[in-house]
Amino acid sequence: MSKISFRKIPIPDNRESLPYFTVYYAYQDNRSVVADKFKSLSQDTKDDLIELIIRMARNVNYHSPKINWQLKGYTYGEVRHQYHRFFFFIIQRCLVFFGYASKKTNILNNKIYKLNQKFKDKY
Amino acid sequence: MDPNLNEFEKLFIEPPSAQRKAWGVLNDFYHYLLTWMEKNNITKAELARKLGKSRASITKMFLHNPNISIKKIVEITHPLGLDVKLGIEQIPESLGKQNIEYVTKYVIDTRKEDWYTPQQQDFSSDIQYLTQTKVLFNIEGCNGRA
Repeated sequence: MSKISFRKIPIPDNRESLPYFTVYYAYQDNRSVVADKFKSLSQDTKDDLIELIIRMARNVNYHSPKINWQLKGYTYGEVRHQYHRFFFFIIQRCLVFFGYASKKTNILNNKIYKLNQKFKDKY
Repeated sequence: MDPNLNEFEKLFIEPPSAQRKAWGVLNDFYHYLLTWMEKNNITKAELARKLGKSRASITKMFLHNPNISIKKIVEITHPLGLDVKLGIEQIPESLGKQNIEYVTKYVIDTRKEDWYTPQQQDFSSDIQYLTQTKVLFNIEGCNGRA
């Protein structure tokens, strides 16, 4: 049976607001898809996603064309930069990143979203 | 820095690079624009009409997130009756490095709504070569014709 754990992503304090969400990312069997994929991205992509995640943590109403807080028909959301997509769900005041997908089209195949839903339900 | 943090976690608490700050500014611009649209019940189709662009070009602007220029930002905000203002403020030294550092931020406001109090100070004539400097973009309601 696989072991699932979560690690916290530190969100720096800001003079104007304290983070609303505590941000975590998932580990399964001592590996994290989120961390592994994130580290392999280009610096430009990392920079954008870091800024987006920090803003998501600080502002529950953060609007961005790159953030879909809840995908239609599913109980999780995605944040993206170009074709890189990181999936997250919200539980109470926690934002949990649990998955990654890459596709060079705007809409991913439904199979991927359904598979993600299974992972999310497991977590 | 917490020694227990791994490489991935450290990325979030490292002092941001100029490029990362630029992404922050872009993201905030879209945030304020989308928030303003939501509060004023402006759809993307209406935005396209106000900007004199096609619906497709607006969708592309939102989806593909171009590296938007200041000129483009003004071209978008002006027809909506919004002004963009650039200001600079000093970052407290305790929060940053000692070298010259610019942080950018968008602030949006409309005269009808009071959901954000704009900076009252006009920084444009007060640019100083300080060790810590913060650049502010103010977007606020204007009387100009859309």
